[in-house]
Amino acid sequence: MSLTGYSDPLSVRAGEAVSFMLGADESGSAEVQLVRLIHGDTNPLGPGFIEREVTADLPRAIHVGPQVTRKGSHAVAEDPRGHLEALAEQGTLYAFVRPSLVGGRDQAIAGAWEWKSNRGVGLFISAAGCLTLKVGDGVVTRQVSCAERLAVNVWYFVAGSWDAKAGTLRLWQRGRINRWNSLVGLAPGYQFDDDATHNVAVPRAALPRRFVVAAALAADGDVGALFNGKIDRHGACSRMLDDSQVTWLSQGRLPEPASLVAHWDTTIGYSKEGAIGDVIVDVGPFQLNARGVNRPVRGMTGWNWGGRSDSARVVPGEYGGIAFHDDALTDCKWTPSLRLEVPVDLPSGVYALRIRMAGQEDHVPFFVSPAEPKARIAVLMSTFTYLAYANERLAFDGALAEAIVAHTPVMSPGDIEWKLDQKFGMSTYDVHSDGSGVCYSSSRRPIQNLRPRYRMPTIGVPWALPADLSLIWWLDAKGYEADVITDHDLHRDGSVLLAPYRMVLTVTHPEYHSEAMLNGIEDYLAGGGRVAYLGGNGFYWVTEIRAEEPWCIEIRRLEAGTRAWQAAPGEACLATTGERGGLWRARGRAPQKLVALGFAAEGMDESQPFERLPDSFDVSVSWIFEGIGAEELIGNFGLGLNGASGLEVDRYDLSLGTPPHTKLLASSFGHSDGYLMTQEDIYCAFPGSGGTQNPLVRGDIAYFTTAAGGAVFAVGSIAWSQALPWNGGDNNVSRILQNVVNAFVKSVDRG
Amino acid sequence: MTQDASLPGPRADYSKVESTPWRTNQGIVKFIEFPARLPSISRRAFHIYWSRHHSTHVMNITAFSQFMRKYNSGHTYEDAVPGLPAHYAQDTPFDGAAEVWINSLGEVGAWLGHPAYAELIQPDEGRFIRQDGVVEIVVTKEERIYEPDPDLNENGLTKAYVLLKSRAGLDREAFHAAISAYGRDLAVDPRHLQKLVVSHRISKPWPEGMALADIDAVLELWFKDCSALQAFYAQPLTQATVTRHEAACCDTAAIRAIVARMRVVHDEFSFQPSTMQPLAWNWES
Repeated sequence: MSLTGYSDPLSVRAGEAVSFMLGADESGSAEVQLVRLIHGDTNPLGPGFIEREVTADLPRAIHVGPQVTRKGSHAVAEDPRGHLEALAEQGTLYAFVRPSLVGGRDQAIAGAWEWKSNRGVGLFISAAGCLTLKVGDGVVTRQVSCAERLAVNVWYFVAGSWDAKAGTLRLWQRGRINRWNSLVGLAPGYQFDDDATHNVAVPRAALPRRFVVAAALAADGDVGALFNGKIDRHGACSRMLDDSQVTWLSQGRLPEPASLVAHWDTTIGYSKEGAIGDVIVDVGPFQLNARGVNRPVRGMTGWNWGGRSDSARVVPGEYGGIAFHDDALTDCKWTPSLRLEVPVDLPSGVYALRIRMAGQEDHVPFFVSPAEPKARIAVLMSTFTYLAYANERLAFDGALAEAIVAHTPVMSPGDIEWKLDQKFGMSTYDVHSDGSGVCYSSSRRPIQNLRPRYRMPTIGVPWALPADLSLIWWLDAKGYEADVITDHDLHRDGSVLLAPYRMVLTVTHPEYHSEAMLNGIEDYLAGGGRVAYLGGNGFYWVTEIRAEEPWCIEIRRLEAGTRAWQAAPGEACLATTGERGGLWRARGRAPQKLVALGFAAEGMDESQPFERLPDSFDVSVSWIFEGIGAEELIGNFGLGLNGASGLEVDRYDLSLGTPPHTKLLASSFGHSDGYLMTQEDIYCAFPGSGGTQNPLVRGDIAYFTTAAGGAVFAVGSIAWSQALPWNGGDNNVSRILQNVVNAFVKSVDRG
Repeated sequence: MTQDASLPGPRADYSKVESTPWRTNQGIVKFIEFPARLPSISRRAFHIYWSRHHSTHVMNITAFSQFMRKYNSGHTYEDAVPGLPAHYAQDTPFDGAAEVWINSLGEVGAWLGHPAYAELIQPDEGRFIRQDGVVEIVVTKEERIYEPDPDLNENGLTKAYVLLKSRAGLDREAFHAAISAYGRDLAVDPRHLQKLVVSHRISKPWPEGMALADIDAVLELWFKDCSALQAFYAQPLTQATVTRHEAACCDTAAIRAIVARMRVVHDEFSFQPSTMQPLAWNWES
């Protein structure tokens, strides 16, 4: 896809501004048009793609051309005053390092080294996987390498010294394994240590005015020699060291002050909660603090991790590890192409900038929430979930994806082209090139699957935003006025955001939530709010954003849950907040406590209808089923695999916190063995966890009231809202939701 | 050392077949409940809630389910099943039969008196089962008369429960001996039968607080399907046996029958698949 872009921010209030960063392989004039998105799924059994052009203060056409995207996380310490010049004649670079992928190409560990021009000094891992020191003046480059290849996922202390006058290059490589910190333990007799000395005419280094960790930058800003793995405390001193001094440093001590140029103490900066940002503090004389680019992962175990704690909050000194990845991307940093001042009276909704050029078209979506609440109904768009899935590659790289969905992926040429390019980073469902999980996902990049017509190739139907538009269409078609709000709004404003609304509807898959979001919904309900939870696998993963960087979410997938990867030992806590990641259920906040239902199973081969259960006939809730027959199948149709209960389904469970007075209104049955009982419910592996056998594999519909006149109507199914457009919206799923919405927006208490 | 009465005792051996089980209340007992659905709910809602939610809920509460060595649920057909003897009343208020095998009569009290029953099971029963006294319960000793395959897969089979009352004036021993003989005679030509059991109501005194229905015995017959049931009862030999025995020992005007489709929720006695057992299983079977 050569014509694409992203908005920033993804979610705005009417009256605020949104910028569009657009790019194309070739320059040209692009027609731009603001559109409101009504429906996305192009399934011919539904209403099809629907957009409405909106008059806005935008040019008809703008110039769009190539934009530069630089992937790879690294850290840069700018040195405008030239303090690094102290390293020109002689000096030492040192670091604790745990490479995760060695060989094949050069990787920079740390240094004041300018890529392409070969100027400066730098510690590298060579293409052969060996520790290497380079010294260059732009004309001559001298280097020395150890012979012993570095082992993967093992902590080392490495150091390289040079002396131009003496004509000497030296390297030290020392294994720093303890019982906990590395892939292997103490017992294997692997040769970790090595030294190398090269006596050669060493040029006086021509030092750039920046120190870079985990990459090397060229003068033009291009980035290369990206590193994969963790780097802990590192630094530079202005003298050549001997063996005893290196041993001293390898024990975590600093060089003697007189020669110290910089020492980046990666354990400094943790808040008392254990949160840490992108700044890497230099405790040396010049305070050359470094700043992370593309979010190096912090809150990671360091070279001295003792295995007794899983949090930097407790032992920050053991959490100096910073993980770097050559394919990380959290901000494309494209030049803005267009800025839109969103009119304060623009109705809230799901919008997109439609761009057309040379026969290509793309929609760059963004969400507009109202400047002030206008409707009685709010629709909570799952912008956190959209980011979690942003640019997922499960159809290509998910080892078990085909088995999970029980059919082969259905790929479009666009999917394949996108995969081949891999220009715009990954989702939290993917793994980095070294196999570790992607814990950050950002909206500051083109997102292929955040497009109205996108169909997830793994399952062959829309997912997340394009699926959610079926609910937007339904509200529009039925004449309901609803304000669109987003996860980002809820995270920022909490229950204050929701309080003005009579009811809040969720979309199909509100899976990722911060504590502030959960609190917001819980407080809204406790205060009499009414929520229609219309999703599957909701309120599942602990997710956070930095207040000042809302475009980037962080998660940590831990030992439980249906998970694409698992955080390494000791790395359970989010760097963003310091709190433990993983499932909300594992932190005492099972989804059942909030909306009566929680994740039961997922399957992508078929969906099933719901059937009424005894509680649905109770006079206190029978209004929900007005117009529905006693034994009528509910939703034996739909755009989500032909049923209203499917894809991911949730169930009622008193033992997990479903309120005891909850009415269990309906369930779906007969799911295939493609639907497997969710992993967190399985203590011992056993046969019979599939839908044909296991009674817990089902979707439920439930209802409960809250103390202050509030209520929750919960449908545990992603496919529910995708059934709404069936038969032009004239169907029993639609009827039930109408009954609920009509009741909820009234001021009288129900239930 | 005395054992906590609320805990199940040593496992009784189900493989031992008693020849005159009605003479003692010792050993495994079978609790049979004939539930009736709440009038407000649909028939289907009743059956799917029982089979998919309630029965699995019961078995998932370890403290409670540990007493239950086998749990069958029988789900009545929507319409009266043709082919049964004409004097069998099928217009009962019942929508099924729940059968639970328990190690001993003493444990029945511990089972029903367990706090988990009051806390978790009873409220759930109120969701779909009438609580106004229509439901009938009987505790029995089982006499397995015809059981060619101890691992018979009962799931999906058709089962007739014939609810019998003793003829007036017949003493208990004579009635149960006669019903036992009746069962054996029915099994003389077992071509259409899968299994045949007589469940004899336990002898008095019943445990304190236990109110049992006016059902002296339950004749239980398993068939592949309703057609097999029809074929069985259409046999002249069967008809003659029914007429002869029931006239001799039963109050024929009080005979009621329930015909149900079977589901095995839990079974520790055989290798048949069940809802709770990790064997090949399918809800549709």
